[in-house]
Amino acid sequence: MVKVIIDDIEVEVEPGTTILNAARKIGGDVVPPAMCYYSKLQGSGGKCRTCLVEVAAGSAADPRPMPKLVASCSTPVMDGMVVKNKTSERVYDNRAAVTEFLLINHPLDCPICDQAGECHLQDLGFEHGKEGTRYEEKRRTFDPIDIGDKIKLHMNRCILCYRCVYTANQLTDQRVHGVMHRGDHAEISTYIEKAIDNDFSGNVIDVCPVGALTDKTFRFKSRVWFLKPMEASCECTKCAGKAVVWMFGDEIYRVTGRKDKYGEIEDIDGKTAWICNECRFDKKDKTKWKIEGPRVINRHSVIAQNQYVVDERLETKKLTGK
Amino acid sequence: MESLSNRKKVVSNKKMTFMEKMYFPAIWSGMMITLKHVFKKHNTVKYPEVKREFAPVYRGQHVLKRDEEGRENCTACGLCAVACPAEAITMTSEERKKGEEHLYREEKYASTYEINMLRCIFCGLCEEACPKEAIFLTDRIVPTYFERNDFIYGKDKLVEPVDQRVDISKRQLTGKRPA
Amino acid sequence: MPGGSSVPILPANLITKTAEGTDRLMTYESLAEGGFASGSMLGSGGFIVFDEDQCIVRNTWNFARFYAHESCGQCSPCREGTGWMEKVLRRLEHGQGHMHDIDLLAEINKKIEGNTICPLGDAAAWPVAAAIRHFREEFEWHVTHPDEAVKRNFGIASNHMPLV
Repeated sequence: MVKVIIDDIEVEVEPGTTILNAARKIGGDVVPPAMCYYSKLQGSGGKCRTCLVEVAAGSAADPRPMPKLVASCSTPVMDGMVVKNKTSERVYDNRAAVTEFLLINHPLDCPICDQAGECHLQDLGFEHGKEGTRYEEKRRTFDPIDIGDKIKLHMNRCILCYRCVYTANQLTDQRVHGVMHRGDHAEISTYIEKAIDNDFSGNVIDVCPVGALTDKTFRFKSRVWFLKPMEASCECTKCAGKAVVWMFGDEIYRVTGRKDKYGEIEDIDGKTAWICNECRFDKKDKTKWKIEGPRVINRHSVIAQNQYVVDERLETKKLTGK
Repeated sequence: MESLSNRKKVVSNKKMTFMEKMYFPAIWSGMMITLKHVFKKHNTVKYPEVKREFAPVYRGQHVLKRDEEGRENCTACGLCAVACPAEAITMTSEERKKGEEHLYREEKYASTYEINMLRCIFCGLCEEACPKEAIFLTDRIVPTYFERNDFIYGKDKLVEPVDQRVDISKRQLTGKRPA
Repeated sequence: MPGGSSVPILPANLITKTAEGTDRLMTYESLAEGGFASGSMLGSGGFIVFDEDQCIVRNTWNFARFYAHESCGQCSPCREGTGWMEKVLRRLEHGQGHMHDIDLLAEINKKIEGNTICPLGDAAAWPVAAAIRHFREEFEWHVTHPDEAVKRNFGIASNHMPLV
């Protein structure tokens, strides 16, 4: 076990853990934001640069600080490492700059976007963004594309985190989905708009941190904060069948995987609970699901707004501390 | 115990004097006050013949604005509904089809939009929440009806007609953030 | 400009003599003297010489264009930053810039530098930062004389691809 100090909090982790995962072990606002890193996807991370942290001392053996800010999602910890995240002015400045870079080509069409309310870029912009823009040129634009008959791709909103590419690579049998071109005209594509027909392709919607990949069966139907997320399970031969159904009254508007507080699909019984396309797109009937109870939503999320019903499980959590 | 607010008054039931028992001097002074007010400027106006001038930020009946080209500004983002403390607003959205670009500004629009004027408390939070400058409260007064259903205003009453624009320029000037 | 296109550009007085007045040698150590404020790097060892007729803005734009084209598009500071820098420089060169664009450029540079995965981001940022540091008046001239900036572009770059 190695000891690291992140924002003056000491934590012991396994050797080889990344700084980001060590910070997640502490939890709270010590955790740097991550747009591209997804712990359930191998090889993800290192691209968006929002998780940059300052390393004030490299290790106990060599306590020199690192000259550059390092990406916490891909830098392993060393024994005696001292990391500064929210205590560092430099980190804050550069994170604000990265936010600005991510937003210069983003259409900012949150009022239309189905991801609004659960969008990581919104959170990042809320914390680190500036009110105005210094970008005077025309933003990069693409037409929305259908990927298959159930997924809509808005390339305008994409921040090229590559998460969906890794998902297509690791979850589905044959990859028909990748990044074309390079530089600031790079785009996600399925090679001449070839449809993805795979049982798990719908998970690219769940991993997308922004609204670039959205569910066509939920497209413009409602806003996430008007829906009630309920934990539900079903008998499914392809996947574990553990999902969150988003209900409006007695109707199921959409089905997603169970995401934890970092927006990643939860592990259930030691396996990542990806859900299959049939569960996601076709089971919109309440009788096909066993509703287990309301999903715990962060009180500060807009999804929790106007929900006056007291969540009993949340209350017991507060009381017992579990 | 001593009162903390210092406003406590002990009620006394003391005996009246002879002059107080006469009552007439007190009635006389009361009548004088009434007489004085007859010649003073009136505080009320004779509505509906006379109408009082509204403040520029008066919050009356809502309007859903169109842009210069006559397209509806509202994109049914739902922020007004989530901001509404009285839960008076409801809407459904739809995707703009090809050929409707002259009707709606963005690719999504509100296919229905209803405000229940009985629930509405005219707080103006919907106007504040709107990111598209679509909903504004105006100086028009919501009339009275006999039926409850008449108070549910749909798009037919809320969206401004293309040829009869509702002027909201005064409140736009007052609400601007400093540059 | 010692060391190819990815290192800070130096004016003639700083390439012959260091800021302290000693002779500048074509060695890694000597060129690095004075840091980035008055020094540069030898880099690949090749060097480019511009005479006084050359438009610095034009050349800086040319470099920025190269790096925007070469950026692989993985990390956001480089992907968005190089493209942004190229657009701002294009504006300046075509006489459509403003004074605040020069500061904006310097700021973008600072935020790309050190925040990228690979050194391409640094390489894109350094020549632009140095050009503004040493030849700021030329950038300002492009803003104050927009018409002349388009018409009077001396040097090889203009012959190769005239603006008008």
